Amino acid sequence: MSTSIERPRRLPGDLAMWWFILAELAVFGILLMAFAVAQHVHQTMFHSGKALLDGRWGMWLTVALITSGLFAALALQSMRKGRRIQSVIGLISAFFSASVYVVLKLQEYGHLLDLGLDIERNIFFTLYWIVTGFHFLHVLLGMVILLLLALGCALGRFDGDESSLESGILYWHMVDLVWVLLFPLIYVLP
Amino acid sequence: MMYPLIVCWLLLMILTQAGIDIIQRYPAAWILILTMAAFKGWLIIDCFMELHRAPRRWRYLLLSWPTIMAFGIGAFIGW
Repeated sequence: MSTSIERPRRLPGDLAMWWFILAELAVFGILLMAFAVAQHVHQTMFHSGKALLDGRWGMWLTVALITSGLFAALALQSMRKGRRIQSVIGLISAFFSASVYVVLKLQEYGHLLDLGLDIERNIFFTLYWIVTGFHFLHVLLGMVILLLLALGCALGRFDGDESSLESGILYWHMVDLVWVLLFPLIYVLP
Repeated sequence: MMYPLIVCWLLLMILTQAGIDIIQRYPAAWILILTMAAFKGWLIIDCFMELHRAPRRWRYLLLSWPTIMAFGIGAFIGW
């Protein structure tokens, strides 16, 4: 006879958000595969293109995004414990950590444009700008969502029902999830 | 409750830095880098997205995304 009681399994957030996340992952999946296929076809071009990217940018971009994800997850836990102020601080910290990503990414984009490596340079940079630019737009949307969640949290909108908060934070983690595959493909792999 | 998240974050940081260090020393270790990337995806799904307590089908569906991506990318790089 078992003495432990298994907690019921529960899908966090709204079901609609999960369908949205699956759709987004499918789109990003196609983009990542397109990049991998093009890399296979144009190996020399992609090798020299990646040599022009600085891996240190990628590392710090990853640190900023993952740290932002940690703050968002901590904010959700605080809200569940009824610590509203801590939750607001967590969400604002997540926003500022994401801002570091945005600043770094804009600097990287500026550096590449200064070198004349724009979207029309070659197939590598066309795909680089499309894939990272599409992800960048998701980061910007996620930051707006983080701000709205912080505001809602401060006004007590999620007291007793964290489902909307969970959904917003899930979107942010989806942005993280895409990045951990995008980062090695574009910056790390030879 | 807070500690698993911080451990997860630490693991993600260590794996990211380790990936860069490994590929600089051993460029042929791309399979390891992709495996680490898939593992990082699983960490985000189970720890940050809290799918370790979600219905199994949803969890496996999400866990399959980084796995398929890593296999797909690896297939074209290794081909």
